[in-house]
Amino acid sequence: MLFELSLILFVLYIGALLAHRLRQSSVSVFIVAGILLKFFIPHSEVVRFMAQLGAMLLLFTIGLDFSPERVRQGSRKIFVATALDALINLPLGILLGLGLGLDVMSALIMGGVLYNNSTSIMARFIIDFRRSALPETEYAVSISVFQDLITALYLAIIAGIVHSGTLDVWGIGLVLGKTVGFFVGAFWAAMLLRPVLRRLMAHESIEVFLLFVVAFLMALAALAEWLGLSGAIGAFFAGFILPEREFRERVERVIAPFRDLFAAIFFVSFGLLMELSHVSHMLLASFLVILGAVWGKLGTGWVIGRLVRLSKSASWRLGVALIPRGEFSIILAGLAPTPSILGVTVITVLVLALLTPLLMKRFH
Amino acid sequence: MEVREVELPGIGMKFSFETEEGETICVIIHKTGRREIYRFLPAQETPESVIELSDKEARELGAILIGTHFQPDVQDTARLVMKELTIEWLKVPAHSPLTGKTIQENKIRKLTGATIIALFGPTKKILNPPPDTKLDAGDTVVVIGEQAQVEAFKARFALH
Repeated sequence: MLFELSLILFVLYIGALLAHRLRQSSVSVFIVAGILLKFFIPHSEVVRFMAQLGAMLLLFTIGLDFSPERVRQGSRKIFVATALDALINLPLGILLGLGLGLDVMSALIMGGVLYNNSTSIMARFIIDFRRSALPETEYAVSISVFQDLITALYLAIIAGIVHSGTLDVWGIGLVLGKTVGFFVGAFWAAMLLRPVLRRLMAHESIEVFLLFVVAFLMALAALAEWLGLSGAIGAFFAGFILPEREFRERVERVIAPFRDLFAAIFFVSFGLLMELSHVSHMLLASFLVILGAVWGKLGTGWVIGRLVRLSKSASWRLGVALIPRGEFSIILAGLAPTPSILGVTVITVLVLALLTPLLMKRFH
Repeated sequence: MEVREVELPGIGMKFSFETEEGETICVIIHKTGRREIYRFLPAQETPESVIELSDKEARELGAILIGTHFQPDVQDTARLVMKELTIEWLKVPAHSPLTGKTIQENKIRKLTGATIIALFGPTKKILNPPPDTKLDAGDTVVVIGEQAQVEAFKARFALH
């Protein structure tokens, strides 16, 4: 077991080095590393557990990007933009899924895969292309962050439905009720306990602080799992309600090393799980999904940009910035009953990560 | 001058303001500590130029801009506001009660809570001046304190 783990970590090290050198998203490189490793080692229980931990830490740090304050501060323009983005891309993904002959459940997952763009990959491109100060960037990052909140809700509902295994009205209603109940309940409790949380987090010792944060994360993850909603969603919500600005950076600092380690194993495990038997079939589907993914976001950017009075070129750039997909899409695809969806999603994420910089150069 | 402040999640903070000439200056402070300064010409949406600085370089540049190394004559006053403290450079006019008396005689700290940490004149440059230092019209004092204390100091000794 230790041998397998050391092999995985060594390959990850090489992968990270390569990604850094090529200025590529490490997510894609890690998945490819997993696909290569598939030929040498089996997917073990230990890797599965670490991957689960990675998913939770990853969603926890994505959740950190928000706070209830931020949601309250969001301007109307941003809410309208976020809603438009969801209304265009979720149905587009679902229709595309149905068009490809998937079952309803898989098509719903396809909707989420196509909808969510990766905040972290996008941020990297924006920084690399020196777009941070441009007018469309404020919209791009805000939309992307709110998207994560919507996707988390969506993911919770999908995971709940997959867990209960039924698609009837009552089953879905129950899942919806549980999800909303969990979000509202945890939110309310966090607001009520805010002064206590703040005092507990102000402890000077890093050790005490770290253990508090991880214990809090696990408690919410366990609660979510008990409700049948997937632990990762609980972790996301823990990140959402935990921080205020003063603590956010400290939380990020202590959690980041663990997240980077376990998230890397999380992405490798996707490579290890991938079915490679129907590659040719998957390639055609991937081509269509990629087309949908690119044009859906270009159209979204155009509509939003014109609506908030950005210039034409800024509107195109907004669309391009929203193209990269990433961790959330892969997490969603991992839930799909049809295994080829994961393959298609991984190919899509890889291709879009390579395509986005080219498009960014094109629309300057 | 109004400075607009926006958080860019995943990137950092964005500060922007418009200059008298109508250009927009935009400073991005990245999470990593890197800084970028964008200069936009009036009614342009792509930057005319971008300056990139490391954290250390940005601090050095900031110190130069704020006048740590050289204070030109054109400027009578300058101020530096930090989280807890304010430091202000103030020129002492002839009509100020400070003129012609020592720091001690003016009871500056006792009356306002602010402290004079340096004193510059045409011929003098005194860091941490002792209580018996005499203040003359035309001197520049550097005063430190909480914002309210510095304000009280300015009001009491007619330094506006």
